[in-house]
Amino acid sequence: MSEGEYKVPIKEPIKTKDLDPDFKYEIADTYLGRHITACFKCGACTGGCPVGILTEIYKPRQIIGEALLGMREKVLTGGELWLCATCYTCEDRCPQKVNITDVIIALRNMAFREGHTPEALIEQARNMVETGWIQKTTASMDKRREELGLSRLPKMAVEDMQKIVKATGFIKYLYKKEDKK
Amino acid sequence: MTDFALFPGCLIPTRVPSYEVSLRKTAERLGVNFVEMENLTCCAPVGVLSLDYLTSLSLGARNLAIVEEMGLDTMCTPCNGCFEGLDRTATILNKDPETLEKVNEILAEVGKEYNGTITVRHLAEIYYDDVGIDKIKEMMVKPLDALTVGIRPGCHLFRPIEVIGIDYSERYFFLDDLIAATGAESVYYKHRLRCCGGLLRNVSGDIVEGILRKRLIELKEGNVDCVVTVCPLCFLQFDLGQKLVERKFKEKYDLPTLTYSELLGLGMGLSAEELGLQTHRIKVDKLLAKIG
Ligand code: SF4
Ligand code: SF4
Repeated sequence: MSEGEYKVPIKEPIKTKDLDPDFKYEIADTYLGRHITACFKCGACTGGCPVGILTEIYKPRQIIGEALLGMREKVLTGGELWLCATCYTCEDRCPQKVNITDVIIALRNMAFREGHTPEALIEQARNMVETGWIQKTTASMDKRREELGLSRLPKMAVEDMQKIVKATGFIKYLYKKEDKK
Repeated sequence: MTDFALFPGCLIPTRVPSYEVSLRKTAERLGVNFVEMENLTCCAPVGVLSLDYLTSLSLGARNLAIVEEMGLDTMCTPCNGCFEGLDRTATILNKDPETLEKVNEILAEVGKEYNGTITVRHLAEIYYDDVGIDKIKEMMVKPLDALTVGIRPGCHLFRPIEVIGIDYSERYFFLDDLIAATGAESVYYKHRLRCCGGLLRNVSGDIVEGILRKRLIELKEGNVDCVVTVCPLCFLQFDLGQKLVERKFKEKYDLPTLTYSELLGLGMGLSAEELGLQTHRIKVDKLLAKIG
């Protein structure tokens, strides 16, 4: 990697008035985020992170630390959350048994409901809801399958899928942005 | 051996059909009976879990409920993404009646109910635990002794440890035994259990290619003839993704990638053509020449 490809952002001082002291309890209240308060900020998670070793902008300890401090806005809207590759290496290495990846997923769930999700992931989810496949499918795929002696791609239960995402409330967050337009 | 409900997922049928061909052809010869599942939805993997926990659990549970309706108790998936999503869903719902009740309220909307009875297993586990090393050795008609292999198990085959039910993931690994059973040698190269970055493909191409390049360099340093994986996303990374890294960094790796089922098929004497290896982006000719 060439120098300067990923810049270390210059930090502003943290102001207590910007902190939400209840944020960590909000996270700890969710199933996925339940172990967050056990963190003692040793950094083992960052040490083994395949993303963190490549870029200064993503360090799992930093996200956990910011969340514990109550930096709600920064954590949920900053975008770093979405750079976790969900490889779960950090969870193995945490001496405090914090399920870091799951905590990050819990934070993503919150960010999603507040409208801060990378568009590519929203589009992928919409594709899933509309077609049953999270992957985009094309006619050429069936042709290739046929050449290899495989059956056509199966029909997906799109109607059931749509009923489920309606019942869980998922759908309303998925199309929120478009509705506003 | 019991019958398995086969959940192929979306990535394999749409993007890695040679994996599907080879797993079906090898299963038939190994006496593994897959029962086809119908009327499925997406497994709602970590990309969906990342947006909404309850939606991911509910969609997963609907698929598990179908296995119950089929009168079976085990689902087999060859995809690490499906495995992570569905195994997690089953692990949670099979022992947490409160969450199960919540999910069943959602499933009532589509006339389904999940009773918490299904075990989700990865194809690699079935090769290892149910078929067994001895049987695989017995089926090899073409020893692959000349080959050195770098394994890419795919993170979600052995992590998160909480879901898989082990203490620590970064140690000796059963995939090595499966490779050895074919006669090939599994090389202990640097960072062989590290992530390939595949799940960031949609979010940051720069990071994905940066991570993948590191893995490719380590494989090259390990002097392997090929990469072998049981994960379709790893496959796409090391096959198609390798081409992207080569282009971006103006480097040449030329490392053929096989799924374990394809390696097995070659050892069983199936031809490259029969296994669909012509669909790979990185040509396997050199590999075939080495096997002879
Ligand atoms: S490894 Fe665990 S305890 Fe250490 S900083 Fe990371 S989350 Fe906190
Ligand atoms: S799960 Fe995410 S934070 Fe943890 S090591 Fe992997 S990429 Fe880093």
